[in-house]
Amino acid sequence: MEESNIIINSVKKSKYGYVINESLHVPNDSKNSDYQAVQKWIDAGNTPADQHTPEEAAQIESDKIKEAAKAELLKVDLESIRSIREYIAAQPDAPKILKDKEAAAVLEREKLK
Amino acid sequence: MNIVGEIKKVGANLVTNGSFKVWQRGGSVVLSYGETKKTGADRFSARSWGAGAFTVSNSVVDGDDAYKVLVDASLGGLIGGSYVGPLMYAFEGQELYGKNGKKIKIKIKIKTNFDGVLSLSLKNSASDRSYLTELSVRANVIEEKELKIVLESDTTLNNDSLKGVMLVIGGIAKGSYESAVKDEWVAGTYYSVSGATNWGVVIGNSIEVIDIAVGSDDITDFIKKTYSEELLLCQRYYNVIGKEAHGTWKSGSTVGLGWSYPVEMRAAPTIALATTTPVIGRLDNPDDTGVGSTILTSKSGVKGGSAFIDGMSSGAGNGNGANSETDVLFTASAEL
Repeated sequence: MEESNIIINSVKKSKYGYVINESLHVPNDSKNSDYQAVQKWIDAGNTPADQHTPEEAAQIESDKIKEAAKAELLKVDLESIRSIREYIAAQPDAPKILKDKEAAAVLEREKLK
Repeated sequence: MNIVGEIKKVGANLVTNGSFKVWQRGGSVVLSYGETKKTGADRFSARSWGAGAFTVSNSVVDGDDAYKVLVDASLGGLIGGSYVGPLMYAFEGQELYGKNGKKIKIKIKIKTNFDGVLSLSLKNSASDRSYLTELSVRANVIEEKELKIVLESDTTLNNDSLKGVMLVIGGIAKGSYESAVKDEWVAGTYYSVSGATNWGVVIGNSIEVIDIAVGSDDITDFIKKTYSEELLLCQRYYNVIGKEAHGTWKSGSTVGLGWSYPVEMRAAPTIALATTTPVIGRLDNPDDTGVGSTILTSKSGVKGGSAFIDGMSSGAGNGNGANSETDVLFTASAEL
């Protein structure tokens, strides 16, 4: 059997196919000769590494949790601001600017009904 | 009186870039021991599987582009090893489809700096059937050779864009890739006729192929394609995507890119950041110094693709990560 055209040192799975030798991004296309070389490499008993190392996967998961937490915090903060405005605007001695903002918000919410 | 004269039948050359006009990878490639590379000339590849090395480069012979293979003086002669394929061309299956059992014509214009006999071989896509023949050459004489070879009747020539017949010129083989049987199809993978000149052992020996054409047996003149036509045909297999891939800053040191190809490629191509000049990750702002170093994701299709590139450092006039419009040089290969 003839040698493959590409010397494979490493293969990593990627979202869209494989990454050979940390540099070539190979698509999932059976007509692509690099893809064929990866299939031969797998047939020869090799196994592609996962897209991310356990450390990278843990970091990605951690980043996802942090991003979700940030989004939730933003939502809580915005809702808190509204609650504070509504509470203060309801007080008899509330600043006029807050009363005006609350009146404007009521008007805008009416449009959403 | 013959008022008609000679009527020539013209036909298409099935070899893309057979006149070696297109060199998208650059004009010179060195092949060291154990290497197989697509050469500077588009659609051609070379293989060195013996000790020593050779250089493939663009040269000019009598005003025509030529594909030059030179046994490299600095790296030593091609002694020993399994085989050397200095000029290899892979046809798509559909290009020869329907020619089972039929005669094809191979026209080759070649110049060497030595007297001798070169091997010319064909092999099928499965690499289990081969045909060997000889090509005699004289030192410093431009030879125009015409060969007629009957394709095997029972060879399956696929009607698709997968690899079909492979053509190898000047193959040197020692051991399992050499055969004494010539001018007929035989079982096995062979690149060299036993007794052919072992030109690779002499430092400074060179082969220059000026033109190669393959077509039906009855073609007398092959149609010459323009550079633009050849380039588009070559870009179906290989593209250098430079300024067209205009990036948009995503976050931090990451840019996102989207691009389209000048012609639809034969398969979804492999994408790589180029490592040749112009420098990768060239930024618009002359003060910027960033380079793209990592492809985070690459979505590749036959008409175009997209990717995120990381490693774009911020420039002096741009404190917010990579420049918002960043050029990155890619290569996209859909080679057979």
